[in-house]
Amino acid sequence: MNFLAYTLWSLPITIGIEFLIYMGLIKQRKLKLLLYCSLINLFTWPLANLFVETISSFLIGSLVFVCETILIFYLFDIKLKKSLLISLVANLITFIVGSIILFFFYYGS
Amino acid sequence: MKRGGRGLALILIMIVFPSVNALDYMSTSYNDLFTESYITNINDFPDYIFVSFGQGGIGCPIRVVGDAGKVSLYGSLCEITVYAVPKSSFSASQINELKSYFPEYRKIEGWDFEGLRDFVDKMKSGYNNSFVKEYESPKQREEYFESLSGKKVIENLESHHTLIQPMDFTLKEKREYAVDLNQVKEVPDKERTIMHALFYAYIFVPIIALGAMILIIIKKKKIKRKKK
Repeated sequence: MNFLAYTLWSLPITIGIEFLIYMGLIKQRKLKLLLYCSLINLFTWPLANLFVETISSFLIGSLVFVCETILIFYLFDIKLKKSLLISLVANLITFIVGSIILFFFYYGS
Repeated sequence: MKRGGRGLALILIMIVFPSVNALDYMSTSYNDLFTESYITNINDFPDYIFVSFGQGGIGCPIRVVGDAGKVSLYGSLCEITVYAVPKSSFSASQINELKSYFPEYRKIEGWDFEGLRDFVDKMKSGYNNSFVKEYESPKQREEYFESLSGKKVIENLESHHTLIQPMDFTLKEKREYAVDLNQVKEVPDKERTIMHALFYAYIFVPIIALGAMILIIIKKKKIKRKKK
C-alpha cells in the first residue's frame, strides 16, 4: 500500500526527533514530553499530509509551525518565546532530516 | 541594529524553511487510481453480447464486457465505445475468441520492461490470430458491429488506470451505466468516488488528538485555579 509504505513511516520519525528536541529544551518528565509530543504530531501530521496536495506547502509549513507553537505554549506551560524557539528548532530539524531522506530516496537508489 | 538583524534572520528562516518538503508532509511516490465502469443492467439483455473498444488501434482492442457488467481496463487515452450485438450474430467460437484473445490491461510497475514486452507480445499475437484483425480503425469496428445488427449504447466511457499524487486519497472512481438499446449514453447514470480508508483516519485522529489536548489544558487550568 503506497500510503503506508511511503508516508506513514515518517510519523514515528517525526515524533522521535521532536521528542529528543523537547527533551533537550524542556525540563519536564520524559513520559509527559513523549505523550504531548505524540499528541501534537498526531494533530498536525495527518492534517498536513491531508492538505499538502491542495494547499501550498509554504502555508502548510507555516500553519504546522504556528499550531505547534500554540500547543507547546499551552501544554508545557512555558513562555511564548521559548515555545516559538522549540517549535522552530523542531520543525527546522524535521525539515532537514526530511530533505536528507528525500535526497537519498530520489538520488541514492 | 543587532536585534533588527536577528529578527530579520528569524523571519527569513520562518519564510524559507516551511516552503519546501519537510518530514511532516513529504511525499515520495504516486498512487494508483482505477476508473472503473459498469453496465448495471447487463443481465436484462441475455440475448446480447456487449463489446467494448477504444478510439485507437491495437492499444484499445475489442473486448467482451464481463457478466458482472464490468468494462475491461484500457490505456488512459482510449475513449471507449460499447456496442450491444445480438448473440446470434457470432458463432460460439468467435465469442470465445473475443473473450480470450487479448490479455487484460495490466499495470506496468516502474521499469518492468520485460512485463511490458510480454504484454505487448501477447496482445500482438492475439490480435494477429483474431478474426477482428481486419477491423483496425474505430470506424471499421463500428461498421463491422453495425453490420451484425449491433447497437451503439455507450460512448466516451472511461475505464483505465492512472497515477495520482501520493497524498490524493482517491482510491477508485466507479461509473455506472444503465443501458438502453435505443439510446447512446455519453454520461454515466451514477458516479461514485471511493476514498482510501486512511482518509478517514487522517481526519479522525487529529480530532481525537486535539480533543485530548484541550481536555489536558482545561484540567491544568482548573488545577491552577484551585491552587490560587
